[in-house]
Amino acid sequence: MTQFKKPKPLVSEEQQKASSSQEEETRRTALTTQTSTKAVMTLEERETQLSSIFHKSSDLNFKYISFDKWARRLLFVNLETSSDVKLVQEQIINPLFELGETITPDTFHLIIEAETTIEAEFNTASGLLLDGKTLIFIEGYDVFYAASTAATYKRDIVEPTNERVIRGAHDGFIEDLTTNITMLRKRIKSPKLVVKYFTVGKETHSKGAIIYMEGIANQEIVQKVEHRISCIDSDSVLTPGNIIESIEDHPYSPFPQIMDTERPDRAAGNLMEGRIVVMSALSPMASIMPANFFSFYQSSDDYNTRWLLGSFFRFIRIFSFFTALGFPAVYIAVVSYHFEVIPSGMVLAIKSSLENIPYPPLIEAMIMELTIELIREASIRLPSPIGQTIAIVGGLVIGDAVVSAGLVSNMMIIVVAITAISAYIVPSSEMSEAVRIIRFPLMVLAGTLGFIGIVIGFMVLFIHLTKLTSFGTPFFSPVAPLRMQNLRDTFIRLPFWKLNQRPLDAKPQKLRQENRSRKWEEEEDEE
Amino acid sequence: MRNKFLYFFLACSLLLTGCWDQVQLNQTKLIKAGGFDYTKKGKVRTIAAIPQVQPGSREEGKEISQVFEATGNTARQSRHNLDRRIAERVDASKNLIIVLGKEAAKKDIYSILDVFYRDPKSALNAKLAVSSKKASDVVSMKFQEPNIATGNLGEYLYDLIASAEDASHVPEVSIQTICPVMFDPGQDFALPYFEPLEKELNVSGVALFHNHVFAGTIKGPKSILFNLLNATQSSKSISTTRKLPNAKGDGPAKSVTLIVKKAKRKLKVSVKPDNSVSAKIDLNLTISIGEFPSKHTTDKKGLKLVESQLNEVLTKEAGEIIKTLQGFNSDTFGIGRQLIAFHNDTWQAIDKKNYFKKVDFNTNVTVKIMNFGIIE
Repeated sequence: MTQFKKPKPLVSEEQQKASSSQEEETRRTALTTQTSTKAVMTLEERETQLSSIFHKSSDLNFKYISFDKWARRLLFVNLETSSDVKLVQEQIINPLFELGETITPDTFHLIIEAETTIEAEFNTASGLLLDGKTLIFIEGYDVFYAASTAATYKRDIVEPTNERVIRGAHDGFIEDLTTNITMLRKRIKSPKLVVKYFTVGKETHSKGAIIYMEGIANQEIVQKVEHRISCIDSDSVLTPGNIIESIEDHPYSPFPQIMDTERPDRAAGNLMEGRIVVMSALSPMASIMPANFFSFYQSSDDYNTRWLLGSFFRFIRIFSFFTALGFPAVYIAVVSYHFEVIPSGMVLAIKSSLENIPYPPLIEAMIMELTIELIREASIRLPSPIGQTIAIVGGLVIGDAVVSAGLVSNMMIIVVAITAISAYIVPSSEMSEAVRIIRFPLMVLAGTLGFIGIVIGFMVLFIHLTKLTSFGTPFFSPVAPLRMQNLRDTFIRLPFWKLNQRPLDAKPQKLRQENRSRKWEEEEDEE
Repeated sequence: MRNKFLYFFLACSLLLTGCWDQVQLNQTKLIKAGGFDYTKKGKVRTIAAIPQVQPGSREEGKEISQVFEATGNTARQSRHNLDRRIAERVDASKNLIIVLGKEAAKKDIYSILDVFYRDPKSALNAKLAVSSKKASDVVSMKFQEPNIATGNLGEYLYDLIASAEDASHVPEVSIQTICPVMFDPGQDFALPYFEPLEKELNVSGVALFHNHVFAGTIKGPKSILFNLLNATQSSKSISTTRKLPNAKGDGPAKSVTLIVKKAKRKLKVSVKPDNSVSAKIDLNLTISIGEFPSKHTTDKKGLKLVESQLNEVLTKEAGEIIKTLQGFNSDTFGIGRQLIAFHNDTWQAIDKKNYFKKVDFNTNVTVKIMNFGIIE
C-alpha cells in the first residue's frame, strides 16, 4: 500500500510550548470524559489482555518507551510478522526521538510519519493488529493510535504461465488486490468501473473485491453475486476456489460455471461485456461470472490476430472439444464393435497393431489415459529441471517401451496422444480439466454399448449443458437458446466492427457496444 | 434421496450389459476376397482369402494371405462350416471382392448373393467378378507380382478391377448396384470377367448375364465399345486401338489409337403398331489421336479420312456387339425398362423372356477428332 507522509509540524518550539499545556489539558478532558464512567486501563492491563486475545502468540511484540522530558510511558504493540519492522523504526520511533523534547499526545499523530488514526474502541485492537498496524497506547489515555505499518510484499508482474498468448499484453495478475485492480483501472478508465470490497471467513478475514461496470452489468446479477458472497459462513476462505464453490449455481456439474483468468486483458474484456469479476486479496485469479460455455474457448489471441485467422483458431478449439471428449471413445467403439467403418486400406494396419494386445480396448485405453494423467500430474509437481526428465521418461520411454512390450497398441498411443494434445488446446484450464474427466464415462459407455453408448453419452452431456445456468443465465448460450446475433463471436470470430452487440447471456443493461467503426469508408467513397 | 439411489443403480445396470455383442477387431478374421463354386454334388463351396498379420512385427508388409475352403448346402451354411475351420470369428464386412466360378455363375447367382442382401454388416460395395475357371483358381492363386504372393489378395483383385474400370474395360458394378437390375425383368447387367493365366490374372472383358444367369462374354477391345454403347464408361481415360482398313503401309502403321475425350450416347426406343420394337443408338465420340504411325495426320483432308474410316470400323463393331448381346439375350441397354416405362401396352403384349432378340437395332458411331497431338 502506498504510504502518505504527513508533513512535519512547522510550528516553532516556543509556540508549541506555549500552546501545548493548554491543549493537553483540553484534549485530556475531552478524551477522558467519554470514558469517565470506567477506569482507564493501565498499559500492563492492556498488554495482558491483548496477549490473551492472541493466545500468547510469540510474534506479538510489546515495547515500552518513556521519554525523559515527558512522564507518560508509551506502549507500542504490533505483530512483528504482519508489520514492517523497518517501517516502525523509521516512521514512528525515529521521529519521536528527534522531537523528544516537545512531544505531546495531541501532536503525536502529526509527528509520526506513518498514516495514523485515533481509535477509541479497544475491541477493534485485534483486528487492527492483524492488518499489520502498530498500536500506540499512552499511559492514562483511553484512546490509542493505530499507525499503518503493514508489511507488503509483491512479486513482479509476469505473464501467467497457463494462459500464454502469442500477441497481446503479457502482464498477469499478482497476489496483490490493489495492484490487480490498478491493472483493470488502467485498461478501463471510466468512473463506471465500480469496485466493492468484501471480507469473508470468520477467522481468516479474507478480503476480496467485486468489480463490475455500472450501466452495463445487470444489476440483478450484481446483487445476486453480492448476496451469495455475503452468505458465505465459513471459518476460513483461503482461496478464490472456496468462494467459487460456495456461489456457483450447480456445484455437482463437471463444468465450471465461473471462469477463472489470470489475464487482466481477459478480465477487462469480460467486464466490458457486462460480466462481473470477483477477486480475492491474495490470489492472482480473477473469477468472471456469469460465464458461458463458449467464453472458455475465447482467448485474447483471437482478437489480436486478423479475424479470419482468429476464426480459424476458434474453430480449431471448438473442434478440440470434441476430439478431447470423444476420440478415445470413438476409437474404442470402432475397434470393439464397428470395425466395418474403418476404411479398407487402414483396417489391416490397425488390426496388426492390435493383434497381440492381451486385454480389451477399453482397459487398454484406460491404462494409457491414466498413464498420461500420471505424467501430467507428476510434471506439474516436480521442480522444472526434473520435469524435463519426466517428460522424456514418460512420453518417450513409456510410450515406446509399452508398445514394444506388447502391452498397448501403437494405435492407442496415437489416439491417447491426440486426445491429450486436444485437451490442452482449451485456453481455460478448468474447462480442459472438465473435458478430461468427462472423457472417462464416455469411454466406458463406448466400451459397453459402442456407438449407441457414445450417442447416449453425448445426448446426456448436451442436455446437461443446455440445462446448466450461471447466475440464472443460460450457460450454453448462444447455441441454446439460439441467438443468431451472438453467434458472431462463438464458433468463428467476425471482425471487430461487426460485433455490434454485447453477448445477451450476461443480460447487459446496454446492448450496443460498437457503432459503425468503419463509417470512414462511406465518407471516403463520397470524396 | 431414495430416487437418487434408484437412478444410480439403474445407471449401473447399464454397465452390467457387458460385452455380449462385442466384435473385437483383434479377435476376428477378416475375409478380404471371397469366391463361390459348386461342387459336383451341387453344394456351394466358399473360398475365402484371409490376410494374417505376423504378430509382433512392427514393419508393414508382413501379411500372409491364407485361403480356406468349406462347402455347404447354401452360401451361409458353407460360411458357417468355414468358421469352424478357422480360429477366431470370421467376418466379411471388409470384403473387397466376390469371385464367381464360371460354372457357379451359370446357375442362379442370386441364390449365392442372397445372404449379402440380408446381413446388415455385409460389404455391399464389394466388387463382383466372374472367373473363366473356378473361383478357387483365382482366390488361391500364386501371383507373379512379389508382394501379392504373400500379401493382401483382396486388395490386389480389387485394384485389378478398379484399374480396368478406369480404363472402361469393365462397367463399374458392386453387389449393391446389380441388385435392382437383377430383379428388373427389362434390364440385365454385365460383370468383369477374369481369365487366370499361369501366374497372373487377366481382366479380359465383361461377363454378360441374362436375368440371374451368366450367358456369355465380350472380350478384348470390344468391351470398351460395349461400355461406351451402354454409357457405363468411366470418365478417366478411355483409350483403344483400331486397325484402319484402307490405311497405307503395313504393321503398326495401319492402326490408330484413339483417346476418347467425350462420349455421348443417345438411345431411342420406338414401337410400331404391330408391337415390333426398334432401337436407335447414336454414339458421338470426341477423340484425340494418341498414336498413329502413319504420316498424314495434320492436314484436314487426311483427318477427315481417318474420321470416316473410324466411323466405319466402329459402327461395324457396334453392330457385332449388339448381335452378340442379342445372341446371349442380355439386355444391358435396358430396352425392356424403356418399354415398361413408356410403351407399357407393347410390353404387356410381347414375349418378356425373349423380347430382346427381336429388337431391331440401328447403330451409328460418329467420331470427331478434336486433337491430334502436341506438335502441329
